[in-house]
Amino acid sequence: MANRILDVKNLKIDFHTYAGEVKAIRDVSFHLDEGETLAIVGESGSGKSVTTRSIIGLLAKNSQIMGGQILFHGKDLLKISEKEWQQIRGNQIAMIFQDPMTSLDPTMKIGQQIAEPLIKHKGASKKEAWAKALEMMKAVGISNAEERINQYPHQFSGGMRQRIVIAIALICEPEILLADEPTTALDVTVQAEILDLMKDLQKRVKTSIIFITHDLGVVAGMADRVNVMYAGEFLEKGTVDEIFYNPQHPYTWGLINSMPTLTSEKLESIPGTPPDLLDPPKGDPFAPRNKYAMKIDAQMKPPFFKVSETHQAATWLLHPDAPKVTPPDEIVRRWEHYKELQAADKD
Amino acid sequence: MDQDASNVKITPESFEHVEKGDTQSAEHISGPSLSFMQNVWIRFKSNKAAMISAVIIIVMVVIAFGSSFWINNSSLVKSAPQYANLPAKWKGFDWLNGLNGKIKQNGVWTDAYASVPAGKYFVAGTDYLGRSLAQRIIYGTKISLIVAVVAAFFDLAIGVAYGIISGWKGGMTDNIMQRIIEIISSVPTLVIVVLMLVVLKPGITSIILALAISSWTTMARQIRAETLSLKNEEYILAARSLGESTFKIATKHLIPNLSSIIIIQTMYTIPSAIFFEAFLSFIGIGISAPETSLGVLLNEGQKNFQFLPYQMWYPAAVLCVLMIAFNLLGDGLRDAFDPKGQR
Amino acid sequence: MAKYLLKRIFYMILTLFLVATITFFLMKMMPGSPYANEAKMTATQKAIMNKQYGLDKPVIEQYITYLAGAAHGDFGISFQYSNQPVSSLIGARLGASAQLGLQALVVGIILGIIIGSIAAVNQGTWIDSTATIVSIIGKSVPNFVLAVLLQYYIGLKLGWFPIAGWGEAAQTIMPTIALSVGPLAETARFIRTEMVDTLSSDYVELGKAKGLSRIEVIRKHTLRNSMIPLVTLIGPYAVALMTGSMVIENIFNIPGIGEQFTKSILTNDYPTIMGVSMVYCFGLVVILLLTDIVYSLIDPRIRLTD
Repeated sequence: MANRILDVKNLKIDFHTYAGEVKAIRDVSFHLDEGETLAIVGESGSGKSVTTRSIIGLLAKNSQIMGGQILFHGKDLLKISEKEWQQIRGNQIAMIFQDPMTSLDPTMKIGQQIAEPLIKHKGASKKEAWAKALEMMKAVGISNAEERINQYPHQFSGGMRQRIVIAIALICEPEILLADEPTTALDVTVQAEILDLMKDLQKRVKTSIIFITHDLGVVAGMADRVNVMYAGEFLEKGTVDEIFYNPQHPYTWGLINSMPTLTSEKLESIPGTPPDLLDPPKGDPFAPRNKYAMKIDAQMKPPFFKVSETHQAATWLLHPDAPKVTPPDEIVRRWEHYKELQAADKD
Repeated sequence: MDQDASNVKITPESFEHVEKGDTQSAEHISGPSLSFMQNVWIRFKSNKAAMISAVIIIVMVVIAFGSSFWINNSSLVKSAPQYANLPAKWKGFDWLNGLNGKIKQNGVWTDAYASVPAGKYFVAGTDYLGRSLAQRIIYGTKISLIVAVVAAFFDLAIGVAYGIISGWKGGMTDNIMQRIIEIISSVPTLVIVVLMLVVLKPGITSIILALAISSWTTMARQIRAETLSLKNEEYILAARSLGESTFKIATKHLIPNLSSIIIIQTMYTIPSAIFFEAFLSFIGIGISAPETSLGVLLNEGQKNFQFLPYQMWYPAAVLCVLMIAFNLLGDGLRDAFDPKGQR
Repeated sequence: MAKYLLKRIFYMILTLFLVATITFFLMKMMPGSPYANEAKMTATQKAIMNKQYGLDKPVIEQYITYLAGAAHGDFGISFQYSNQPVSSLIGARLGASAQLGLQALVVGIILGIIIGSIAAVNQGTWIDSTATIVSIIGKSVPNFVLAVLLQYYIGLKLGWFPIAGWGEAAQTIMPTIALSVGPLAETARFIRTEMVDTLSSDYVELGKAKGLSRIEVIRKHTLRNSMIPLVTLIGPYAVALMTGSMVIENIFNIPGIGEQFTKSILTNDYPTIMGVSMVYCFGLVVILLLTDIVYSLIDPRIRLTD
């Protein structure tokens, strides 16, 4: 087994709001191995950003951790002091935010912003740090870096700024990089460039990535494993192939079905809205929107049923007594393709 | 595997298919929908300081204007030297220095009412001509409020009209109108007001005119900026393409949408006009005796401050309360209209 | 940049020219004679005086003479202080006003920044509420009321500082306090709003994600970004200080321009009124231009173009 660096167990997070306690994260467990990329996919409000923010200790003031553990190299990050956090943030665990237009300090030179973590964590002198910052700017593909290091954020385009944010995140060569929708705010063509850059740098720096997105399409080329999140819970976990070609949860079916393909004529959508987490449902949270819902879905929360060593899904459809249902055509096509792949592997 | 420890029995019926639960129920909107103004009112109500300020202002306005039947300037100019410079005296407050008609002279509290017929009380004392200070303060507050409100109204009228025309016409007209504003606003308000007062005869009308002329540029700028962005809103484009007249669009669509800016800006103009009136009258170039305003009272009170501090304290306190109340009300309205609290 | 500056300077000159023209003709329209003891003068004396002040010439000629003089800072001769040129009258008083204004500005802004940032960092606590109350009171209590109270209670009763006059450092303290309360309150409010905004910005979040401590984030990324826009308030502050100085200088008997201005208005000394008006306008346009230039220097996003 690969070297496990992060292990999140039974994490529960509440938010205090005027309306009451919002149960944003309800019993979430996952892990991250060295060098791999884990994608967490879900629609907005599913709790994916909250999960990542808890890993870097930057939860909103009105949040409260109700239980669980976040083990980083065996140390529980939920129990460490703010001082210890400051030594981990930006050093061992770094983060990229969604909007590059607002992530950079508008009145500070780019070079200084990139160099800042190195000065803070590695005790580098200003000169060393700037030299390394220059190196990082070249590494993230900023041409004419010698001149641009003295410029300010407004002189860069959105894509360039996100490259700078990546340079800031990677300058201390962190073990974990948290990327919270790093390409959502960018043009489609720039998105691909940024994703390629991240993959490329991941190999060089040997960092593990937790990649948050609502866009399943982005995941395919990027992730090793995918966790599907819904209403503060994971519904399905598996390798990228398993999720894409052998999905088991009706919600995952819905997500895949709503991706545009070359043959699809109209975009499918999942009707309805996620449940209100002020008063979360007791059974399967997706049941009210689920075409394939069964009586038990409303009564009892499904456990994770094992599909393979690496693949599990929380749906009663996988219970031995459950009736066989026919998923949407697109999913059936994918299942067939998956069988062919597995047959080919055996040969 | 995290099995749910609930006591639901799994039976074959459990796996019966159910029709997809009606998605409508999941999409119900909690709470009745509120109009913009209702929301503003709810936010404003929850701001205690602003609510108290609004009440204080209403009470002051009611007293100042409601008293017009009893207190007018012709009765106030009559002097009564036998009552000159009496401190405040309240019935039943003999034990409290400051409200018992005594005044400190050479460190000793002496009864200033000794030569006054018994049963005569002045709740805020009298001035150097023996006139009731309470009556003069109420009357002065009325004049100060009239000056401020009328000035703010003119300021509003000029600023809104100028701003809408400049923003709506755009192009060359806008350009020229903006240059004019730039030039006017690089002349200190003080200079404009003083020049106006030197040319016109000092008095209520000239102060109102001077204040209105010197302070409309801020309003005009804000209205112009908002008009520019409203101009391209779809409902306005629709009204324009349907051939609605500019005047109708302005009154039907623009002004209602500009109302929050107008209200907030006016709420800030009033206290600054109150201040300016008091300031001008205080240094003696604004309203002057025999007319009365808070500034005039402060001016007179200051002359005797060392010996009869109450003559300045009372009008000063009224002025400060009025200013604080208007500023808090303005802040409250701003926050209520724009919850993000941008300024 | 150079083009922008040229344009700005053109508008400055245009503004000053318009103000000079308008003041000149307004003063010409004024009824009555400017002389203090007019009633006692004979017709011949008046004619001599008119000749001395150049009032016998056609208005247009007087106007051109006035403009030419004003361009050099010569505003003619005061009606009240015979034979004293307005320029020297103002010049002698410029120093006191400038010193007082500058002191009040510096004190007000520094204290305002401190109060405002403490309030923002402690947003929603009693410290924040206290700071808000202080700035509302500071904004609402007229500076001349405060000045009278300071003079009487601190100066006369407690005897901590001289009650009036000008010359010693101690004499500047109370007028400085009275004048600085306005800018202080305004700055505190402004900085608080700016900082609350900045503290919730993404780049502050990224700063925390870099591992910076709260103090480091505030010092490196919050304070400067909140303070830069404060430059735009210097112009309005200058106007408020000019207004304030008229009354504060009177109360504390300070030989400044404000006190001169009040005196001139009360005595219809038109040349001096015109002169002081021009000096105030000139001061403001220069300050506005300077703040624009400074803003563009300290905020890399601002460039001086149209």
